[in-house]
Amino acid sequence: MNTFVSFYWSTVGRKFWTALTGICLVGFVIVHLVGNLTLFLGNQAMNDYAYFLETALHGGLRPFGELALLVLFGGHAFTALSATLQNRRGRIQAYAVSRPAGGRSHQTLSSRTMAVTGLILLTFLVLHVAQFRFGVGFEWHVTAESAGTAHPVRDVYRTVVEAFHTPLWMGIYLFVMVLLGYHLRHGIWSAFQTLGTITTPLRRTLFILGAVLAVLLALGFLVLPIYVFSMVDPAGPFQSVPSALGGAR
Amino acid sequence: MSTQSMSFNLRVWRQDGPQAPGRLVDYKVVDISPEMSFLEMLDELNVQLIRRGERPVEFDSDCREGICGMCGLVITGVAHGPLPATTTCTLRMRHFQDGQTIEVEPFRAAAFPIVRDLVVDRSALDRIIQAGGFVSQNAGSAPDGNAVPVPKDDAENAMDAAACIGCGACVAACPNASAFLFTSAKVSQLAYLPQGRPEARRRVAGMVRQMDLEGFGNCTNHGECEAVCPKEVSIQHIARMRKEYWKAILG
Amino acid sequence: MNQTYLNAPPEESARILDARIPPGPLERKWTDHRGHVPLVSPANKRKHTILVVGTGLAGGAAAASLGELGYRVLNFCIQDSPRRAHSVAAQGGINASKNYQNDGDSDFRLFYDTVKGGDFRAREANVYRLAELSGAIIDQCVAQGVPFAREYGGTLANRSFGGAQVSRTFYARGQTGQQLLLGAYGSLMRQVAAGTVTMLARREMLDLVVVDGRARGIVVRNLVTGELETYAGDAVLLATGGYSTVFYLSTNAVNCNNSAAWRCHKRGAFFANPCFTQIHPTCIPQEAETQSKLTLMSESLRNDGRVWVPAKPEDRRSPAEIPDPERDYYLERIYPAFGNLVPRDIASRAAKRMCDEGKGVGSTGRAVYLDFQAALERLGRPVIAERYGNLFHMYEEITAEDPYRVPMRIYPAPHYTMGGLWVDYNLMTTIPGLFALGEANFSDHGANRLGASALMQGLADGYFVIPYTLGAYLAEWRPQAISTDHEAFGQAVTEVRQGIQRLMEVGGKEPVRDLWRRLGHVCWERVGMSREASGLAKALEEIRNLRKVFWQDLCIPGGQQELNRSLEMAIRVADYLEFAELLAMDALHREESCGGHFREEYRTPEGEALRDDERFSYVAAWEYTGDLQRPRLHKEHLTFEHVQPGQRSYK
Repeated sequence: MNTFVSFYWSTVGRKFWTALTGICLVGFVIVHLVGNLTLFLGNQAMNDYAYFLETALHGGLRPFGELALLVLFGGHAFTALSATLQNRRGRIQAYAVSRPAGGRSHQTLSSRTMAVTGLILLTFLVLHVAQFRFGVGFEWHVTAESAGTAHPVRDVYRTVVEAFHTPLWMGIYLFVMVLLGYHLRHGIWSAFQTLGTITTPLRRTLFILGAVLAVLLALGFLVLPIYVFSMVDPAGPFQSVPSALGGAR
Repeated sequence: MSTQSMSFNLRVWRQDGPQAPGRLVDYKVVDISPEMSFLEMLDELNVQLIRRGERPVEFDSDCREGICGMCGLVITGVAHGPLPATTTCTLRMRHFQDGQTIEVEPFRAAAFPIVRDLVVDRSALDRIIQAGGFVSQNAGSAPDGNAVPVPKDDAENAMDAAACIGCGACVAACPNASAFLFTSAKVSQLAYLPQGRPEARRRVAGMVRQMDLEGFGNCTNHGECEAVCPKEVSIQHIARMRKEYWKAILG
Repeated sequence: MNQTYLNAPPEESARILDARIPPGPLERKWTDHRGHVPLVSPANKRKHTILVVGTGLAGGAAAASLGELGYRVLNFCIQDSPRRAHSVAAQGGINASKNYQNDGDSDFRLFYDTVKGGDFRAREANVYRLAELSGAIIDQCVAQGVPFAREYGGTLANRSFGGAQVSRTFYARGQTGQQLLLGAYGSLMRQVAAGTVTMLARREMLDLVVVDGRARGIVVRNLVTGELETYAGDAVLLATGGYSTVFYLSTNAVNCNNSAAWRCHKRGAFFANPCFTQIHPTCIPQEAETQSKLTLMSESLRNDGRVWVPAKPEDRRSPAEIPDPERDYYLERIYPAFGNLVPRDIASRAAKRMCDEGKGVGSTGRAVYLDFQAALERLGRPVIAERYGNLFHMYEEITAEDPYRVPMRIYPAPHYTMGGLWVDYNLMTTIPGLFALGEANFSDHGANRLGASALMQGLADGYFVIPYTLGAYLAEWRPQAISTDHEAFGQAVTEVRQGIQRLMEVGGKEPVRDLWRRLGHVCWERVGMSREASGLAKALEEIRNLRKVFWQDLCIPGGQQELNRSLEMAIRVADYLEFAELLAMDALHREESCGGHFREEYRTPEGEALRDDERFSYVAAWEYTGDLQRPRLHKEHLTFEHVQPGQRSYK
């Protein structure tokens, strides 16, 4: 236990956990994006997917997944922020003039703003979960077919459409997804470097691959709200009924 | 031969002692030939200062051929100046524009307190080596040099890491003032060699612990260290040190 | 000032210097000696405090080894870290008679080559011991994790080096000195962690404290605070390097100096053969007056580079325009057997001769070409890049010329000093308890050092000689503890303080750097690569005059009780002004040419060095008799039982 604690609090250890949780989270983000793509298939597909998530493993997937994500996000944010605070103590007096050396450096705006983008992403995450997981601020609808059953399922599709027709939300999402790309642009490559898996010839490739993946993920998440905003009619039709008519919340 | 003469507007960090306040002071230095090294230019500034009855600028230097690691300044915002794979002492003035304004600051890190002007105390790096950066080998007890064959590639990789001159530019350039590149160079050198394996676990655990105790920052993979390293020590060694570390502690 | 003695023959002492060479056959001397000297018991070792000054290969290795044995060691260096000692800059390699190449090497052959290379002015017994220990050094360094170059089979690689016909040089790219030093530094750091060695960095030794005729302590200046600190111990080991910076411009680091050795000399240690200075043939030529140092290009370059000058004097064409028949590959022409690989002194003088004849190249006319064209054609660029890439890069960075396309320009520069404090076989100076190791002593290289031998000697002295001989000294003597309260310490501190005070009070206008440059100029012109009686006499006069100027015009800004580089430098230059006299005087008295000491008056018809074994087959050890007093000459006669001194021929 003692070694575990000392490992955790060491510089190498903190980054190790940050990287490990980070990679898991990237995996989650990929799955999340793929799941969201059901939106293109329309009302039915997306709600079926939501239903699947709710009921898989006899309803055990969701609580387990949520707990895991809580640990991952929380752990990632905590270790990364504690490392950042540690880093601030590394240099008390700042340089009067300082600029990147260029050349072989991997320093980018992305790498310098990880804590900032990370904190914004965290804040966003709270809103995002409140919005789509708990439906705060939206009228509660359940899918038509589940209405009145023992397991009424919320019409997520409708919530999404309603959210992305609000210009404010739309703006926030677009902005945050760009930041997500920025965060992952350094994050993905950095995680592999931190786990000690990178040898020199592989490094440049991974550095580029990381950036490509970051851009793809960001683009994927950007396309969705834009699609909804421009292509989907906010008035429906939706295959859902207000929860007051459908079943328990 | 010096065909042209250059002049520069220097902005040099002056600080009387560790606790004293410091500031950038403007100096104009004239009659500089392009083939002078940066430190020879500072020597010339000092001669001009002494002749004017002023206190010369203190800075560290010794071999003046880029191998001892004693010199090190942040020049126009970059450790060891704008040229890659160069120490301050081997940087020539022909790489600057005549009349250019050049800021000169010491290597800054919480673990490198300023002694005076541009001179800093880098003994923290010695203490990291004391925490395990060696092979415990008493004189007299070594087997024959060829008793243990070492694959050529391993020897070359070890040499790449061993090229570190301990100047501390990696720390100075790192936005976090991290000493990962320095520490990992020694860990990696000895990890590549069979002679270093018996103590590998103890070594990496001890050196990382000491590095943390000295108050260096964490490594967030900006790679600035490699970009300024006069010996181009690769951050590949940082990856290797991390692996060695988690293997040592968790493995 | 009293100048009368300067040109007179030296006063000679009747006392015979006893080198305490053990009896017995050459190859048994060291083993038998080791087996018979008294030992300090393990429990008693920690009661002995040893002061080691310097952290280069000799000092660092000694401090680490003594720490391993259990002595209490205090180790001093002037840099901020022991890893920066100038051994770090050695490029080429380290010799050892391993005979891994099966090409006929042996201890005897290394011994023979070294004695011959030193122009028969070294002590046979010391040199044999050096050859004998050379193999163990490699073993030790490999075990420390020094990344020597390897063959594909995993065994150690070798190359040949200037002046040797066998491949016995071990190397780590062009950074052998750095890697060996970091090996020793690692061992030293291990002992610091173990508590046996206390490291005291940024401290400069300024005096030796002698009590009852024995070295018992030192006075150092803390270079950060300016405090004078005293340390007491049972022995003092001086490993402070050589005095090449008396020439101001040299390949040595800018902080290298001779003050510690000189102050020991003033306390009674004899200074031997100061005129044996080595001028390295392959350095980047001086370009500007303001240059602070000269940069060495490793001698290994001569393995593949061909040295030439235009055959006609004053030929100002660019090298590419000079066709092969109009080039003079003079080393290959004059020395067909060794060609471009002749020893350093020969190569340096030949370069000078060519330049004196007007064949020099470059803007100053003080340079010769080192050309890789043939090697590039034969081996291809990748092979050359692998062998010399870092050196080519270094050259291009300094000169802005690409040696892959344009031949390098090189010229000799002061590099190493064979002379130093006189020591006996046990490395002890004439002050009991004061030992000198590495370049600081005079012992192993005679009048000229072969390439890749300095690293060997430093490490042999530190790892394998001093642990035995120091133990023997302590076991025989059984010292009583001493503290720095002893009056001798207070007296030494007062003297050092007064000396510093005098420097601070000069109140002139000249920066010390300019004065040093002037001294260097005198030494280089008159006591440099070639010397003659009239020039040496002039040098003595000029040095005296410069000394007067120094004590009138010197300006030291700032105070004593703080970091003050001007003061540090002034202390060193003040000592050099005294030492330079001894250097010139020794050169004047040695009326022969040998090794690095070349007197224009004494040469063969072909212009080679002409030794005079009848009159000068001895070590000249000088005793200090007071400031501005004639030093007293002591001779250690050299006897050669295993090597017959002959005309050194590399033809």
